[in-house]
Amino acid sequence: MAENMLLLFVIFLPLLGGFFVLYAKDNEKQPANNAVHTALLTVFVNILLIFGLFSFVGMETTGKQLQYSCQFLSFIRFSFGADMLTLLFTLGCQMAVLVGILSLKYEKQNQKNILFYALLYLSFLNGYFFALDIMSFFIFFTVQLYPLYMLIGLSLPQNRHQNLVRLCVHHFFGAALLCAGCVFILSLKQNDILLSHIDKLHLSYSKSIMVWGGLFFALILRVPIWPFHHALTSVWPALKNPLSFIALHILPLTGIYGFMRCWPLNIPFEISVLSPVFQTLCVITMVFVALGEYANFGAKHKLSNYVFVYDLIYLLAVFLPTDIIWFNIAYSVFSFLLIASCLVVIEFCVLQESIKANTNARGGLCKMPRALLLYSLFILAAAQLPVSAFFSNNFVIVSKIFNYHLYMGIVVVLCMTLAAVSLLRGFYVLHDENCATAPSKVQIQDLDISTFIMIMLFMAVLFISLIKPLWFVFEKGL
Amino acid sequence: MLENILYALSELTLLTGILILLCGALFRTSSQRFYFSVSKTVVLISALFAIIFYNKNFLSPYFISSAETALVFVLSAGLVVVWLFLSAKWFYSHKELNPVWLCCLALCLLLCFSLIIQTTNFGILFILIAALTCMQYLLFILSRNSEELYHTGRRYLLISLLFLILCGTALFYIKDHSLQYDAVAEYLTQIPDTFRIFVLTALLCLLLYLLGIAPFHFWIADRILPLIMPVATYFALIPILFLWFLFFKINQNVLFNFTEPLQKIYYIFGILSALFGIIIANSSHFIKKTFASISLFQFGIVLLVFSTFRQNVATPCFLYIELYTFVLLGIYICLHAVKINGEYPVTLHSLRGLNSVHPFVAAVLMFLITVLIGLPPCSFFLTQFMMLMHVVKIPWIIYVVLLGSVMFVPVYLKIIQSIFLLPREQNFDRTDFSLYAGLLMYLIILIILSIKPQYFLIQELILSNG
Repeated sequence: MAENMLLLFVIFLPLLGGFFVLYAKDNEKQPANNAVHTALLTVFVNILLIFGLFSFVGMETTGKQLQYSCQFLSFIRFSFGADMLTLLFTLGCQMAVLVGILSLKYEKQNQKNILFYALLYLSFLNGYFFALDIMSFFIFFTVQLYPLYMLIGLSLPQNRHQNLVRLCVHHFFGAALLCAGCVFILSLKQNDILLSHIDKLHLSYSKSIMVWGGLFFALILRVPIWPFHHALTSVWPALKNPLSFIALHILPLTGIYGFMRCWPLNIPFEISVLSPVFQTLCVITMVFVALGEYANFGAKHKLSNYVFVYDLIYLLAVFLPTDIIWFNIAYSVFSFLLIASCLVVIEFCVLQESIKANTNARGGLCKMPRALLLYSLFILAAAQLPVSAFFSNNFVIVSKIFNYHLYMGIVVVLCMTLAAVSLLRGFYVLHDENCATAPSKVQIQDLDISTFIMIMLFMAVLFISLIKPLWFVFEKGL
Repeated sequence: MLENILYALSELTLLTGILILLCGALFRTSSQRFYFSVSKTVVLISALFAIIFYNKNFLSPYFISSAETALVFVLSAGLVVVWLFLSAKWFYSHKELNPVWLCCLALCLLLCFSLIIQTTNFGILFILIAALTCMQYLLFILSRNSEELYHTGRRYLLISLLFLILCGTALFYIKDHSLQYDAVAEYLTQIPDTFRIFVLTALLCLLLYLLGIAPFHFWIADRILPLIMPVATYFALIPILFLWFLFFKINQNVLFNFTEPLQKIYYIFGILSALFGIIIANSSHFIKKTFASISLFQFGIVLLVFSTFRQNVATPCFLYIELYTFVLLGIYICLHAVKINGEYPVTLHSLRGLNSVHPFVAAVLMFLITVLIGLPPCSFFLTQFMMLMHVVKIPWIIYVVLLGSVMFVPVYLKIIQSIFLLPREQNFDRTDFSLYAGLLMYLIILIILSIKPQYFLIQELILSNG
């Protein structure tokens, strides 16, 4: 029972921490120092709690082991649960946000508000990952858009606010479709319809189309697949702080997680005819994104396109008619979140320093040895070299895609290679001494030691995972 | 006789209140506070009597009181008290104005509405609606501070008269027959089609006009802007519950034989309202007009859902309207709490940077706006969800409602953006402490309703039994 209550605690602890952050006392020298520390402590405690939850679940990927449910209204019963898959997604998000919070030390404005909304977002994300029934799934699916809007809005230039509104309308449209699906499902007068049981409901043909279509579009709108990609890509490059970048980067992964939870292995007949069209769209988008990444010179653009490519690969993998690679997907997502967030934070530091020095970021890493070390390690991991479990899990995922469809597998591998090469090019630009435009007299500050240690720690987690995946999980009773 | 007087104590209290106010005006009581205190006390006492004698009828069978009429009256009385409280704030900053007429009108309107929802006779209803129209016109006059409003008021009166004459003509033709609701319902099935269409048209036009459903929305949704704050608040909040209750009552007691043709008519009016609401809200930069068009949209979707005429569909519709009014009340309290150089903000632009000066008001406003977007699991979302579950057999209505709500997202985000994301350009005045306290109390109620919607849904039992 206590471990079931722990689920609720993991969901609501960041929310509570958010309010503490909002009322943290200001320090004259460093205005939001206390707020940053409170946020860090909250997320850190949450990570420890999630580690604790790992010890209560088995290695099975399907079926949630921990469960908590409560009757809300006569027709609504909230159920929450966790299994290894959920916990990996949750842990990845907590760690990514933790890295993002570290970077807020460099932010000058609105730190408290940004931290508050980041923690609120994290709380709703946890709720979304733990949701077991359709209603709580929908609630957290929708509710996470509010803190996200504020989080992005606070770090977006004024001239891009229209793009943000477009992004929100885009996602609310998805939420409305999911809401319609929920109405149809709950009208069957069963108050505890679990996500995994939706395909067992007796729906009429038209209702089936509306339920599955609504679910499909609601989740697919989260992923930057053509023609729904523009809302996300128009906001992404303009973001001014890494925390909002990370938050937005998590959003497509929520769509992928949603598919893993609700989508049956055998695609419903009603929309199965559209499956090849969807896969083709996915592959074409991936090719264009990878080419775009290669063509673009900005490190920020390269990273965002790199993230897109992997989002699309996960989406393709989730749609394979097998669930044996789901655990690999979850583990790969966990590593991917860590790698991408650490790269974003380091890149941001380099950009900040170059702005301070009034130069561009080319060659910026040359005078930042700590950042250089970390950046090169993470680039190696991101480029699929065997320094982390990211490599091994992606290997399994790609082999399954090959197994399912040879041509699709070839395109995926080509896109992955192109994405990795582009990232390496970006790294070369950042660290090439000949490109450095900053005069030698300009004082450039390296990553501070606490951030360096924290990011190094994450690198260690990734590296040890290569040798023993889930090394941080303890068996029950230990 | 004595029994009748006892059961009409609620109405008699209001009449007494009007007399006290007039006496106060006669003896030149100059204190603004006096008029508001008397009005608020009288409304509260009247609500108390309405609860005590909730199922006792006076002048039966012309007026039938029931649990649901008492519920509507008590809820609206609460709204009137808050409205008077907010209006008092406006009058305190305009010391030269005497609030006696506003207070008198408030009590008269409440009395009129109370009788409207209780009556079961079309003749009485006609007279009461004529009185209501006149009183609302007087409110326009009270608020007359621009040439535009003068014309709007006159147009309102003329069109009201037109619809009243239309309705009066219809009643004149059926004068030989009883005008009781049930008798008229039966009579309508026996008369020729042409005459039936005429009677129904006259009745529906009057009702939809009073509700401000598109295309009859021009007198309120389009013209709320120049109204002074107390009058704008009245039109935005007070008549909603009474008029919708009347609409549901007439549909269920009189028009139940004509659901098929009515359904199509309501579809058209509902879609038009939703469409007009979306267009006006997205193109408007004025606060009051934006919220008036949001109301227009909400009324449109309620009409759409109600048009299915499914069993008990009126209950979730009424609950939805009630909760919407409650949320709107919170927004108006927030708007009263914000002043720029002694004036209430007019445009969305004038709310820029509100967060930096009044963070509490800004936070409440933001919360309310997210509730309006449909923040689950708030009660507003739940009532919408319950309402939609009644029309699951007609899926297009669900999509119209939900996609229409999505169309409002840019409007809501524009407001949030002004409040939170844009830098401040003007100086906001200090907020009255009592408004802060009121807002806090309001917020607590809203949070309780969100966490425990059961407290709110208790009303479902009362309304369903009715």
